[in-house]
Amino acid sequence: MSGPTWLYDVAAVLMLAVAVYAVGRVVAAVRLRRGTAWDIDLAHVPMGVAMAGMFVPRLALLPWWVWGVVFGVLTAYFLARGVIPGSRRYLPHAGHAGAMLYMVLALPTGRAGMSAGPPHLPTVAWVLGLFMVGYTVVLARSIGAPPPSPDSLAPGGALAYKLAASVGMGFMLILML
Amino acid sequence: MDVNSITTHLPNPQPDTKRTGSLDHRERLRLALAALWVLDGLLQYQPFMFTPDFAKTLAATAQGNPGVVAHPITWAAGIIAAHPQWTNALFATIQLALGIGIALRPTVRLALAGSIVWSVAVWWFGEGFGGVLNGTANPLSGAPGAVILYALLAVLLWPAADSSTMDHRVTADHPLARALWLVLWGSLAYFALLPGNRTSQGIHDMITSISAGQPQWLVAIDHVAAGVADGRGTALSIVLAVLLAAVAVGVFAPPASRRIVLVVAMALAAVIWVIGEAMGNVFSGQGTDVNSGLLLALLALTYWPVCRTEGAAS
Repeated sequence: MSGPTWLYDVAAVLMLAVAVYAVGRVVAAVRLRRGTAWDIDLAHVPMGVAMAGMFVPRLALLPWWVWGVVFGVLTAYFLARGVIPGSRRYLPHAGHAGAMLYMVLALPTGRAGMSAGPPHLPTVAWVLGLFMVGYTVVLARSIGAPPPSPDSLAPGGALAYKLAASVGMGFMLILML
Repeated sequence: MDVNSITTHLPNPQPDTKRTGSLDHRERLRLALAALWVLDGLLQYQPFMFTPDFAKTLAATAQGNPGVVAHPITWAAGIIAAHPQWTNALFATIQLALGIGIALRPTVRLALAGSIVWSVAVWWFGEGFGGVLNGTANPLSGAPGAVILYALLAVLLWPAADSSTMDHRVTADHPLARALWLVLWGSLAYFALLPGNRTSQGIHDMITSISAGQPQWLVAIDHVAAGVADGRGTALSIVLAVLLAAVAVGVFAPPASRRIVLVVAMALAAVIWVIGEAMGNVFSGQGTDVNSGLLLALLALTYWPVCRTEGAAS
């Protein structure tokens, strides 16, 4: 069963926009000497690009096993950072990276809505999808709140692109049920 | 701890949560409501909903309803069948926007108001009033219609006029809130005893029919439940009705006793959600929401007596 192609195209564009914005944040932070979580920003570049490739297979730039290695490393990195006292903000990104790892392993050949085989551990997709939904509303609630640091670069933008990434991942995970 | 000092009775009991970033009990529940709307939006984007078959499922809810209810359902289903893609994209996007809007501070009231309007519309055009008017409502399968519970939650979780505080206009101890609880759970007790729901095989057949296509662990749970219900549908319906009725009147109990009632309500909601509704049938690719069980549990949490100290501690 397949869904409307245009919907996946829109989702892919949104995910590419996330990747571009994340890169732009790091560049802007360096040039303007403003604060940003560069590791979180940079991690969303492969996330956005890989998600776009899942929605639209012709945008899949790398073999899925390469993405698996990338997201395995990112998951381990964010978990390691997240367990350090005072750095719990990294844990949701371990969730993001872990969800990406699950998706590239469970969908080795392409678009979720086009998958002909049985779903891969749908309960895992459900749990990760719930995480994405929960993280989406937490991010939305934080928009407009005071930034963590006075010199933070566009804190609203940071929340917005993470929110968009969460919605995109949640959408893909729901498609995998 | 003075359990009668309910947080929601106080005019300004909470710290400024925008400044502190902390969450009070009711705001957590409001975020949970927001999350459910986001989840519904994502479920609505599933491929099945973009096909004319989705319109057929909507049209089927018109059956048995009075003409004044059924004809608009058929009319709306016809529009959706003719334009399944853009209509469903609109529906999904609205629900996603409602969820994010409820979570966003500046738009919470607008989104809650919109969710009430949307819920009532979907309750009519999408669920045929949950089978309430045609005698098919069953508390184990989603009566009185999951979506109307969103509207009820939106009313109960409506924030105060002062956005810096999180007290609520309609509190759990408000007579209107208690009346709504009584009507809801009392009607569920009534529906459990409808002729079609109290047959000896009714519950068994319902469980077995919904377990198809579910994950193995959920099928196993359903298999055990169906075995228990085999031939005992009438007795189980009566027990269920008694428990639901007890929950209905339990809202008038003092806070200490009410907590027990609410725990029972949440346990019933869990049974309904997992066994009766297969968690909203979300694993089938055709579930448009989480169905009523999870919402009933969230509703029970909304009525949970909150002590004054909790708000201060957060």
